[in-house]
Amino acid sequence: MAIAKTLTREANLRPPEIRFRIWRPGPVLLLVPALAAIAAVSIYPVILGLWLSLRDTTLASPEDTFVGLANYQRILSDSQFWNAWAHTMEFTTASTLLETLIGLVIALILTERFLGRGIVRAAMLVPWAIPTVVTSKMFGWLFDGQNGVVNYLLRSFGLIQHHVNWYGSPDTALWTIVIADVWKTTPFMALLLLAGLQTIPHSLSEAALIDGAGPWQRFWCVRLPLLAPTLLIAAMFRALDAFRIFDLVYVLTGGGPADSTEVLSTMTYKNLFSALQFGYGSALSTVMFVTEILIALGFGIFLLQKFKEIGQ
Amino acid sequence: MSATPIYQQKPAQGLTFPPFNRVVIYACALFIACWSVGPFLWQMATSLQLDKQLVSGSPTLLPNPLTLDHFINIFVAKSFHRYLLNSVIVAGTTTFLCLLFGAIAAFALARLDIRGRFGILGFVLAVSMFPQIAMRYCQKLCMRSGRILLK
Repeated sequence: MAIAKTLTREANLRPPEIRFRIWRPGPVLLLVPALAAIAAVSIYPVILGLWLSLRDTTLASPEDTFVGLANYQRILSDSQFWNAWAHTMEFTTASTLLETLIGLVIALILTERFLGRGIVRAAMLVPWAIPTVVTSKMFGWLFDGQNGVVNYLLRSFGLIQHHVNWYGSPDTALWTIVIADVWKTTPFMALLLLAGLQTIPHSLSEAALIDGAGPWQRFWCVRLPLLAPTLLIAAMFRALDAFRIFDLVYVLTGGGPADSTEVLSTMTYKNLFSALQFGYGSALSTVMFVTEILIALGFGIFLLQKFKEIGQ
Repeated sequence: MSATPIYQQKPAQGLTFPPFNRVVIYACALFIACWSVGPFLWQMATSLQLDKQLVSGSPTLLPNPLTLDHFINIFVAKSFHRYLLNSVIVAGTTTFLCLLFGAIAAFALARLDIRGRFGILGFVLAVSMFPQIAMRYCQKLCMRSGRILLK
């Protein structure tokens, strides 16, 4: 949204005669199909959700009255909510950081010219192309407590004495999900950063080389500052997406064991579809929505500063 | 190396790391490929092994004996092709509709004079942030009310 603002300012600088032209319906008509589709599948449900979050609608009882902000009050005093909130934050932070770092390393390696680069680039995208539910089941099998190959390998290398019940024990379950998510989504980050690296002019690195800069200096002083906007945008998309994590958790652990992997999405889903508490569930989803906007705003402000620094 | 002036040296190809680190790059590339494809290959190997081998305690990557039982099972007994067809229909239709509506709208926003275009773009982006799972129930309600309207 912050970018939108700067861009609007730019748009206002256009010659004034454009703005006083007679209004023709043509261009706006072209927007109608897209906006109508968005209105039908997004805006109307969002408004309905907001409205439901102010009511105590449940299917378990005939109650259906307006209760104001009571649902939100209940959220604030709900220990299950804070539990899920902590897990979501932990997951979002860990996966975004790991994926950005590993993605950056992969992107840096894959911009180098070497034999078979095309094959490695294609191989890198395999995890990204596999449906999340399949990934989840696959990691369920890889990390299986009895016959999982991860346990087998770690044991043959002597790193663990006994088989670890990866996603069956509260201590390791969330980290297993983080690992699965890192495996699945790092290629996406690497792809975005690879595209970002390609836009950095080669002549700059060359100039730095001629000035006697070593590889580290060339990375820290030339490439990284120029890559920073891309890095931030990629991290923002990833953080927003990670915050909504649902399928990986739902398929692998279902929020268990003992709620140790319960995240906001799974909690909302359970309240809406299992407990059929539509009012409370909608309030939870509204809280998620607001948090997402806050995350986006945080990144947006950061990005704006970066853009100003570079002078774009 | 140090005797030749830098402008006479052959330009390094990737420029991030000097050529003597080639080995490191190849090692990293190999690791990336294995890390990405490994779990998938493992899953494929699993699909070609007998159930009793999978729980035997010593997992192997090469299926021995190789069996197509699981594939026969899903395609003959569970008619998996029907599921595949459904996925293709859903993916094809949504891609077509998104491209159609999206391309029309993108053309209008990019090429024609529309007031508040960045407001519209920001709005679309903001809407896509709403948690999908939370919208499922409301979308279901919408569809139901749509059906009632059409009746």
